[in-house]
Amino acid sequence: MNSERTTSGNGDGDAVLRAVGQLPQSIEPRRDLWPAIARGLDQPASTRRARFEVSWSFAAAAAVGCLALGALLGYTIMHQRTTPGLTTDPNIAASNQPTVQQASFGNYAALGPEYERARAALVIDLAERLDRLPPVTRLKVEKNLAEIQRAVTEINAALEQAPGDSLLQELLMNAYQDELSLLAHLNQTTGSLPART
Amino acid sequence: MTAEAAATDSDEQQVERARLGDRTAFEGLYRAHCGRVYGLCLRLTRDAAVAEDCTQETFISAWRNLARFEGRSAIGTWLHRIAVNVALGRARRGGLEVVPAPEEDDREETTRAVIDDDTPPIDVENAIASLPEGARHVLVLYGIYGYTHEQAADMLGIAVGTCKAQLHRARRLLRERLNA
Repeated sequence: MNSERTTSGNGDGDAVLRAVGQLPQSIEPRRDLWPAIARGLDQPASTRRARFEVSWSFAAAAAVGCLALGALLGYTIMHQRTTPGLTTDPNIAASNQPTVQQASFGNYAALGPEYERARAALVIDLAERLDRLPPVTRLKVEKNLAEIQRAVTEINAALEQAPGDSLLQELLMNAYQDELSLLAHLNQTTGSLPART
Repeated sequence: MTAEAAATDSDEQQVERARLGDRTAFEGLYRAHCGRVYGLCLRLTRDAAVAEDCTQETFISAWRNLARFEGRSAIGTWLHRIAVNVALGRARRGGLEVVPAPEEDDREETTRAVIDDDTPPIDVENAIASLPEGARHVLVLYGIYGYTHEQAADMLGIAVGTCKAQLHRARRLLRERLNA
């Protein structure tokens, strides 16, 4: 490993990489960051990091975050409804299986029972709710859900190697929150939509 | 001991003293490594204010986790690992797209067309900043900071093969954009 060198990166004899490798590794920030860092050292780590457990307050926070996402999803649906051709594009075929799997959070985290209940309520009739969406929107939602699932799987794999890593724990928490937010929005948005025939 | 005096000590000595709660020693570590940490954060986030926040968060997190630093890698490498996690976590928190942005390939074609249209060559730093996220992250870690594919892949949470593919893509796009 040569990350401690100060003049060049991996040149590999490639002109482009040589040019990249000549860039300075060090860039000084516009201001001295130490005073803010010093203040941060005095502040205790948040209880969320100290105790890795998902609580109902987590679900409530996710619900608040749902508002913005829901508005966006709702806008997308309404926009597509009023755009001829988008909802009936034969080239876009929504998959028949929901992206989210039950209890698919991997091996590391022991989720709190309140979170599990909240999530279980949100994934009820998931396939049916997805089916109510226009194909384009459904694909977007499924893509996001799949991305979250992939992230959870990868973070859990990393946590198996470094179980005490608070940063990985935070990343995992964020992924859980993202999924819960998306599921909540899906339920909220599709609740007013008729079933597609 | 002053921070200036602490700066004359080796990283190992400063780490040992910082582990015991010596903030002056930790400030010495900050002074020695803030440029490389901020440079990495800036190139990953492309936003100076966000990069400053990420740098601060990196050092605060490092202070809280110094007991876990086992010294198997250099302190600079360990700080970079934290910085990558912080920067990627920041992006993840801020960017779940319900309505996806235009496909990357579409953006590339648009940019390439502009560049090919008698546009003068742009500097390397700006060309890197214009790369798609995955390719840029790999290029920054591999090309500028000299990490191996295995190290970069580990930091970014991707497969080594993906890392190599992203570097290949980055080199191709960068070559086009620099008109090399």
